[in-house]
Amino acid sequence: MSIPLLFANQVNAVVYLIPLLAVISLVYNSTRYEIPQVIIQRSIRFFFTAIIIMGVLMTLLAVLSWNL
Amino acid sequence: MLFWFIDFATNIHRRETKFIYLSVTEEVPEDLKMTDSHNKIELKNPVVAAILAFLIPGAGHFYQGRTFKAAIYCFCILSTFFCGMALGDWKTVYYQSEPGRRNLGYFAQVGVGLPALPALIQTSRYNKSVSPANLAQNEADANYFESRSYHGEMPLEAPFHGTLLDRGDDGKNVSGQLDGYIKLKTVPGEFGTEITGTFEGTLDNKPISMLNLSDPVGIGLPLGGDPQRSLECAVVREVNGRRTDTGHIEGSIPRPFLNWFEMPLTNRELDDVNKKLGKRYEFAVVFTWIAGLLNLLVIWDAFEGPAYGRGDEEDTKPKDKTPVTPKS
Repeated sequence: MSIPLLFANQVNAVVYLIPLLAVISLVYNSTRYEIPQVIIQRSIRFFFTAIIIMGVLMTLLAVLSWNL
Repeated sequence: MLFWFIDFATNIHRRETKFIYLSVTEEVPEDLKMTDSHNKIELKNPVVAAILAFLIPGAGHFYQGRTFKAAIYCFCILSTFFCGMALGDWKTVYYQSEPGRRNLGYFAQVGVGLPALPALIQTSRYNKSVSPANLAQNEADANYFESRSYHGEMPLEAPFHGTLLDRGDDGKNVSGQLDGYIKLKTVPGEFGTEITGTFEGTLDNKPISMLNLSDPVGIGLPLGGDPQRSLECAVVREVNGRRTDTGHIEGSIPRPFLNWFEMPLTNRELDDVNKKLGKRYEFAVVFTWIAGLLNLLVIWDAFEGPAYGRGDEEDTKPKDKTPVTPKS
């Protein structure tokens, strides 16, 4: 399966993961900090960091499964 | 945002005072250390707060006056939990207590508190209604069809949705989707108590004449994980002056909300929901797990305060302030 098709196949799962990740980052950071401004800043940073890490992992897996 | 604004507006004076206090003293007093949040945040009674946080996510923080965090927890955790339930056709949260069939996932879900606790009561009700032998095999419906304990529920009147397979008065086969109302009752028969009844409604959205129903009748358990309760029975007609079985109807009648919400699923119900929803059901279950596990962090936050207390001022504190010389 080609990489674009592999990604397209995973789109459905990603739709569920994005709001879940937003919730996790918001709740997790709320339990670590108290000031609303800091909570929001840290949550946004956590969210995008996790997105990037997952994106890199997904790309890596897609490349490794090339032509399988 | 409204909660955040209210919280920020009501606490801004306290925060500014604290910043100034930190900046004008050389040594940070013992009661304002970064991780010692007890002295910086009014936790009130931490045990009460933790119990409230367990029962309803965010309630413990609301009790402590931490409204911004209460709003975040309540919205995020409850929405994740109920989204999970809705995605899984409201069949994701249940507890199987039978040894060998325990679903450990419930121990993650129960962290969300009150929304998941009814499953324990429902399991208890369910176990009482099913014989131990069939409970062990997780074939509760079979038990109910065999034992005919539904005779005690007669007369029964309910909306019915299902299929008809019958031979009409003219001898031609009749089949299609039935929608209508079913009435069943017990009558004394030749070989003991029998069930008879009628169906009135439509066949493939076209009105049909009333169908006469009779034994053999099978009805699913009154308690079950599915909002629909299976029902099947024979259709009888007068043929040459005799009542003869000419076909049967098969479908379902609705269960009352309290008879299906968070009830344990039988193997068949679990197979059906997996077949219908596929991967979505797994996502739905994971949503409810994560909601319950996140609430454990929230309970700890209500009990002990946040990991960094208000020590996160380091991010917002102006760095160019020079400390004042300590008093002698």
